[in-house]
Amino acid sequence: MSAPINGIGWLEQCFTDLDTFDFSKAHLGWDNDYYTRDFVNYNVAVEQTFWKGKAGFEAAFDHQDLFRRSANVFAFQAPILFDSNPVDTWVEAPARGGYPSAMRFLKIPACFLGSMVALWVPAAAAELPPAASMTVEFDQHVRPIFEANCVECHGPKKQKSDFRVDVKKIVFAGGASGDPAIIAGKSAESPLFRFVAGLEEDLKMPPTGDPLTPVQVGILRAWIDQGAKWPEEASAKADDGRDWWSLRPLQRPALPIATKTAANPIDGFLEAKRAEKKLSASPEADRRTLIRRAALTLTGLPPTPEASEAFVRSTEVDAYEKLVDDLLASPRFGERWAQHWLDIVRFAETNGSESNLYRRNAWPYRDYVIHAFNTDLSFNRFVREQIAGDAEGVDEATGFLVSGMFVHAATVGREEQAIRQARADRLDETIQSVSTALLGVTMACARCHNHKFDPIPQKDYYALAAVFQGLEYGHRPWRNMPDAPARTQRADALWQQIDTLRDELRAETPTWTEQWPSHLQTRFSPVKARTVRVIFPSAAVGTVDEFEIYGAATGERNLARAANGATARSSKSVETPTREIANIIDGQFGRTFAWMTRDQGAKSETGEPEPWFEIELPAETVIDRVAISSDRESLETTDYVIEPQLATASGPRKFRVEVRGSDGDWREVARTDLTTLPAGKKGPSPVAARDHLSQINRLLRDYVALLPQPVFAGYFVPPVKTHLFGRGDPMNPREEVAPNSLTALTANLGLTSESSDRERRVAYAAWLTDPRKNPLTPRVLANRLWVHVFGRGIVETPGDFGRAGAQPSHPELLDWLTTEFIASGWSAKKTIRLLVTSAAFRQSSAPNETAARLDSEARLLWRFPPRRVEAEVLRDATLAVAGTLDLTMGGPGFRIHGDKKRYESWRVVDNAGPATWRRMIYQERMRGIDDRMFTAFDRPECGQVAPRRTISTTPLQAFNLFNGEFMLGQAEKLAGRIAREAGNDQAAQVTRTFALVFCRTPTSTEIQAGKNLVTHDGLAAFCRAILNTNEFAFIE
Amino acid sequence: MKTHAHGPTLSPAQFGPRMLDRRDFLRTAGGLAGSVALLRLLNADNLLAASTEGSIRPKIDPDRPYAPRAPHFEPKAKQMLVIFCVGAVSHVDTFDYKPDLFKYDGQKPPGIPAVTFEGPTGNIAKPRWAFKPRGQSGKMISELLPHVAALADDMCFIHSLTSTTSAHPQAENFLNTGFTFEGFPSLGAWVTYALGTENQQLPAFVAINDPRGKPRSGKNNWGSGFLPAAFQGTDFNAARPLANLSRPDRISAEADQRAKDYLAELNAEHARKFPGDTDLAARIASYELAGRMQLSIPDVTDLKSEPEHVHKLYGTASGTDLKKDYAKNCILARRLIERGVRVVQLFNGSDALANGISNWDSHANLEQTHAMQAEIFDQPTAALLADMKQRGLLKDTLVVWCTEFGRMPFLQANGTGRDHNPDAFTCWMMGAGVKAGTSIGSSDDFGFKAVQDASTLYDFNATILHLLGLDHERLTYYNNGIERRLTSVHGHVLKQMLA
Repeated sequence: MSAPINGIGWLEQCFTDLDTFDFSKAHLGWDNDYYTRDFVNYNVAVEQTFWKGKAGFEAAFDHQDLFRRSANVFAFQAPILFDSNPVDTWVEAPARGGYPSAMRFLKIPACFLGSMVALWVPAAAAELPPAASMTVEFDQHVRPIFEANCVECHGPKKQKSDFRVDVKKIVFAGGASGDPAIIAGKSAESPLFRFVAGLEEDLKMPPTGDPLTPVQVGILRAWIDQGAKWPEEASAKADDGRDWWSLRPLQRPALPIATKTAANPIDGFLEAKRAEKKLSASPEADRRTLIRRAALTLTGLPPTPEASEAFVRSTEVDAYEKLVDDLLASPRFGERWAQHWLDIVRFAETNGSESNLYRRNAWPYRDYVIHAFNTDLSFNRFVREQIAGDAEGVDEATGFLVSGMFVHAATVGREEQAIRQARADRLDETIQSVSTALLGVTMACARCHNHKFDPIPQKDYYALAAVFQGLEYGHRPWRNMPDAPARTQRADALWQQIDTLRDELRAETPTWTEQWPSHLQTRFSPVKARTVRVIFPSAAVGTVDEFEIYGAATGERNLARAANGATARSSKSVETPTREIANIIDGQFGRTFAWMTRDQGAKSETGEPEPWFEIELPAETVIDRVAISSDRESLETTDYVIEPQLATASGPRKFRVEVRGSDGDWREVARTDLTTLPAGKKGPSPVAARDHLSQINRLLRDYVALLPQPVFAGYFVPPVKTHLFGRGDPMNPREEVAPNSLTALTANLGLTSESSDRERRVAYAAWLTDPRKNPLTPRVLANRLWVHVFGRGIVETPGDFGRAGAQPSHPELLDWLTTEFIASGWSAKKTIRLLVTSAAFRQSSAPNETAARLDSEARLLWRFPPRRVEAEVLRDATLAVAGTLDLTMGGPGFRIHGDKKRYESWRVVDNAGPATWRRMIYQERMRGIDDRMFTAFDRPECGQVAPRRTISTTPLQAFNLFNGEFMLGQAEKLAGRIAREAGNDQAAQVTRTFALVFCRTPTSTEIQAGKNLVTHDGLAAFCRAILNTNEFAFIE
Repeated sequence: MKTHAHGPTLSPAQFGPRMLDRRDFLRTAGGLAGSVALLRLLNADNLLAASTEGSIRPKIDPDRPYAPRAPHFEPKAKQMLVIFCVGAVSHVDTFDYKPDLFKYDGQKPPGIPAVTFEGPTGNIAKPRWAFKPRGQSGKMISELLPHVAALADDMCFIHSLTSTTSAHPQAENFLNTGFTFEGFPSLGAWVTYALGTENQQLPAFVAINDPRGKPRSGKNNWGSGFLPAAFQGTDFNAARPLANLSRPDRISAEADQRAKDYLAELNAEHARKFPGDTDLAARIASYELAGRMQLSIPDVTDLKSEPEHVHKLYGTASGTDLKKDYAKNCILARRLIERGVRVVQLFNGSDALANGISNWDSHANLEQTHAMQAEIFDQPTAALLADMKQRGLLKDTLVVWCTEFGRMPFLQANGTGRDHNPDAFTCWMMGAGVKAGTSIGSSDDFGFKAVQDASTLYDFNATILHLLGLDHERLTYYNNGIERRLTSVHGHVLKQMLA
């Protein structure tokens, strides 16, 4: 009657004893007639199998765990018994062994087959050691057991697996696993009990030494079953990790005594730290160095020789401050600083993953960030808009939330597990952006378990997931796009024109098909319809992703949607869930879920099969047009994918539409044939009508182009309930979690699972930007401004202010700066001005051997630390000195890639020509693609969030810079400029080049060497060398 | 207690934007950021999980990021060649012999899921090629790959590998970076980050792309992720030279040299203002290294110097054009290994141009698709392996053959192709440190699921690192709050694969 299961898979050996089963009553057949059911909530899948002449079951615990092999759930040796059980009820039985607690229960419908067979796992209760028969008191009975056996590893001194038995809260909430160790009243389900009772093969406690005595085990069992009463005062107070510098309230520190009255307070704080090490600041840098440093830091471009000369010669006391103000006022400032922000959130204009499709109109978010810096948008508003800009009329700002990658549905596949995982991964991308950019907290660590270093329980992760539960990756209308009113006005005018043309057309023909950019629209005289049928004259239908029906009286309501009560059926579809007919009325565009016929309706007169589909409306309605499309999703959301993937040509082009009213007679209302003429030139037969229609088609394209464009900034849906996922596994949903923020900051957003999507994000944004409730965000932002001025942060790990990150080198300075930042109205410009006008920024970068020995990285800023510039600065500066930089701001970026097939990689086609001479921030950013030029310069690939850039040096950089087409071309341009500006005198040429590229005059030796090279090989060769120098590539 | 070269070093300099500065190692203990190190050590002692305990971070000299570095313990292999068949090779049609598939061919037993990755399922399908015992070991391998099969006695097969995803790009990422997501460092990047390389005239890590193009997750397969860009793989192949390697034709060699000399002069002069600055020195060094590579890379990619019989062995002049080009890549791979390149990654197959043309993916017309890929793959790969063996290169080189997952024992509803199977697939290793002529783990009777010694790709990667003398739990890099590893928080060395 029983057989042990000791493997996974085809377990015929388990099913040898089948006398008591009666499978012969056709409940099981050879041909697919079997029963599969996946009890995802219980992590058990049971299948009845009939195989090789034998019958039995397969039972799998927790698909994910099997899938990942993180647990061998059949490792336990207890027999699984098969038993006939005629009771039509659920049988609940704890299975012995297994792995984490969530998997310990099987819940199986005892009667899931007519043959009344149940899988019965012997009740663990029967095996449990007996409970003590007495009333157990915690202090008197339980605590001594813990203290004698457990506290050494799970107490105040050590907390293995983040677990301790002397703290009530931790025992009931669980340690690293996030699973409660004790469930009051349920000893059989309490891991702590199971471990100490030796019920878990792999996990016995204590792991070494003597096990608990039977008496002790009995006491624990009784205590748990009696309700696990534990008086609060009998619990130790644990350091819950909340007493941590970054979580403490902001306080404005007093200025250090060293601060001179006139000095920038920043220097006072720095001086105090330096003094501790007996270090002192360096003298002010020379003016040429200073202007180049300030210009590169603030605008990412070198100063012109003229500006540099003027600054050097200026006798004004505040010449430097004026210079800084000019640089901050330059539109180049926003272009430089926006890049820093875009780095953090790994902004890119493709989706990533296999198809890595282009996101049409993702760039408005990039422009939004540039504009925010240029207009000095207060940073708290900047943050709020990026979280909930849709509530503030700034649609593109929420591009922030969807800046990460996502896997397109087609690549996710069809398996439930994969689909859930992909959704969880999308939310995780958003959580990473938010937590890294705005909180300085590595929230991702809490996806699967409580954070190992920081006071972030796993629940916090899901509370944040709940905040964004209403977010989906994709487009939504860009209501505030520039000149929206004017565009709308023009669009309305066009629409009137189109309507007039339609009226004229109607006089000639009752029906026609308009070619909209993403779909076909067939119009006909109003007719009462209960059922609408589309018939194709041949099997070459292509794919139909959506079909819509409209009537004049019902306006924009798509009557064909299943959500509106319509149903669909068709001639035989391709036998795939992704190709079934229901897909065309599901309200979802795109080929991933579409209809594809597999023949074969009635034969037409020509003998061709005539595939068809029909839509039945819930009630007879007057209709006058239908829309049909093949891949409307791609046509409306992406570009640069090679035909015919996107073309309506791969969809239906020849069909007729018939309707049937309640009277029951079919009548043809339209007949379309777009197959013989090129798109846009086809229409019904009379010449006049054709002209009208081609005009309409043309105007429609213009009309659609004028309408508010979809912007890739996410779209919002009613949020489903959020559940904590056990071990981060979306197939293992556990308790419901309401939206909230960090419990370590006792956040209370006042939200529930019923709160609307927008309420959630608005409340969260308000919390983020309220420094009384949340000191993290302003601290993180102030530190970031510091990072990009000095190259390193006061906190070295700008995305991690937790225990795994670095502590601030100057804690008081950071808090002072943060309060100053808030007091300035969260002004980035004012705060940056404060930083770059400090003596610390203005000091020389010259080395000092003594100081270097004490502080080689100049963390204490005894000098300005020189550093190599980023890829963007190198490229932009090259264009600037060559005189070729195109300063066009905003709008769609310039392209360096060619078009591609859907599953091809992007290929670089032009990374050097004039079309690419705008600033690099305007380069279309394709995720994960090597541009064969600047990627080698540690330019992020936009896969993972990049809280800071690494700077490394590789020979690839040398190859690209010395031999790359871009640099060679620009060297020639620079040579041309020099020749124009300096004439034929070689010394003058060398001098002018040094002025342009290095902001300085060459020495006589340098002039001579330069002249030699110019004489030999010409100016371009000289410029090529100059553009490769360290001096050009470093901020000194 | 394991012995290792460096002892645990937890340097706060890891936080810095630059690569590690060796002077920091001597200096920071009492320095400011030293408090971080102290904290982390305390944590390691008390609170923290083993994952951060004893991280070994290589000491990297920014002047010479590729300088050879000692492994954690005595390695079995010093170099590595990874051959990656893109698109998922059907294990049940190649290396994982399942007689039951013949027996139940055409039937649809219960237990077959209704839907797999690409959609509804069809019937059990027998292998499309006959299996034969090979070599002394008698290993059953199909006729699809007769040349490779002949080397069975040198291989150690693992038949019980599993992946976590059924999608190609994520599975490529998982195989080559340990994560399904994008942006994590590749295996080759981890290895060169740890070990540097022996030959300073050539890149430490070369990715030889298929003649048809890049694999599906592209650069992720050889990218450096959040490791410094210096450790990314350099990608070129026999047909397509490294981008920007050579001066353009319009510049003469002499002029090119004069420009370099002038540049060196300017940089030297500039460096005098910043004595001891490692960043500047590193950049100067990188131009010098580039200069040497300009000679050594064309030399290594010049296959004309190979004798006729070698070309014949690899098959550079016979078969389809794709095969000829792949054969040249195989010769290139051997030449790179011969010259001491630390990691060579050889791709067979590219991103999807159309079903079955560019890689092994065989959702339809399995027979034609696999046969077409095998024609390209079999002879040149076998030649490469035999040639390496004959030259004694396998003594120090680990060869890994892998594919992102397996294929189903049953057909798709279309009746001609096999869908993805991440629950059981086969890869193999040979060469240094590998137990030759063995097979470990097994899938069930149909090759549907791994049953005996089911192993993850974490295990597989842990084993690779182990053979190279690296402890996969201790090779870490701090990124955004986490000490990252190639094997995430998983992985066990597959001891049965070790010689």
